[in-house]
Amino acid sequence: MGIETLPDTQEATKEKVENAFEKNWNVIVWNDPINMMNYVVFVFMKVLAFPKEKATKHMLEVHHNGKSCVATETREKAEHYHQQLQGYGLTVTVEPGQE
Amino acid sequence: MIIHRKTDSVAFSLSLLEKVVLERALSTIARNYQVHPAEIDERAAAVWYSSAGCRTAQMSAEETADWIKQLHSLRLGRMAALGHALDQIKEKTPPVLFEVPREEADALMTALNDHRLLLAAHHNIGEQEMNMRTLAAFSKLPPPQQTALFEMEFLAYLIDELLQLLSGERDKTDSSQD
Repeated sequence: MGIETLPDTQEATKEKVENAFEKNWNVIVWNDPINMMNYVVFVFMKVLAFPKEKATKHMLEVHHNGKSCVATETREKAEHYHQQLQGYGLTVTVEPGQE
Repeated sequence: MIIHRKTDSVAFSLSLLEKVVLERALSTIARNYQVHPAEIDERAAAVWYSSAGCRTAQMSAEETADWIKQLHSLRLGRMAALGHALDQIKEKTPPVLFEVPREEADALMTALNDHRLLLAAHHNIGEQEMNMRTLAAFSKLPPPQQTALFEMEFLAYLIDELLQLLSGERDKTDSSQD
């Protein structure tokens, strides 16, 4: 005999799974006056595996615009980046993107 | 300070003042790293263990607590590099030779940067103070703020050298610089 699941539970689980795998979470790095520019470039290269040009572009975006979206990822990956970047002393948030 | 750049390490020859400042910084970082995030002082918590990003990520209280615990583990992972650095300079008389191998440069650099962030938070140092370019403006700051800025500048210099070692963006041959 097969196992039946209540329809509501099934829907909720489906939504959770879809949400977990959707690359819809933005990792935002915010400007701060203390971290050095070359340090930020290094951190982007190390954590996000950016080439130097891309890392520099995002660092300048942070510097001039106050923030930069450095990645749009699944929730789990975004939280991982968030933790790594904050571990290096950067100011970071993770925000859900537009549906 | 005299810097000896090698292929896989960088060595600093420190004066008495530089040694004292660095030893104090390293000891403070090591002490603070061992404090549980829930027990660390408010300003340090705001700088090192801010959960603002967890809120925007819609993490639950349990997820946030776990996330902060992992963040603390990241910092504790730098203790070995801090210990090796301290061992080299503690109770030594100048000139003190302090060498950082490439494999420990990342941990030490990040720890020194953490201390810069903490100094700035403790002494209310923001954009205005960081961008001061004249001695006249600088001398108007309260003495504790001036001392903190000097210390931050000194640490920035060390960080810059460690960054060069890590990025490999320098002459591969051994060199020295005053």
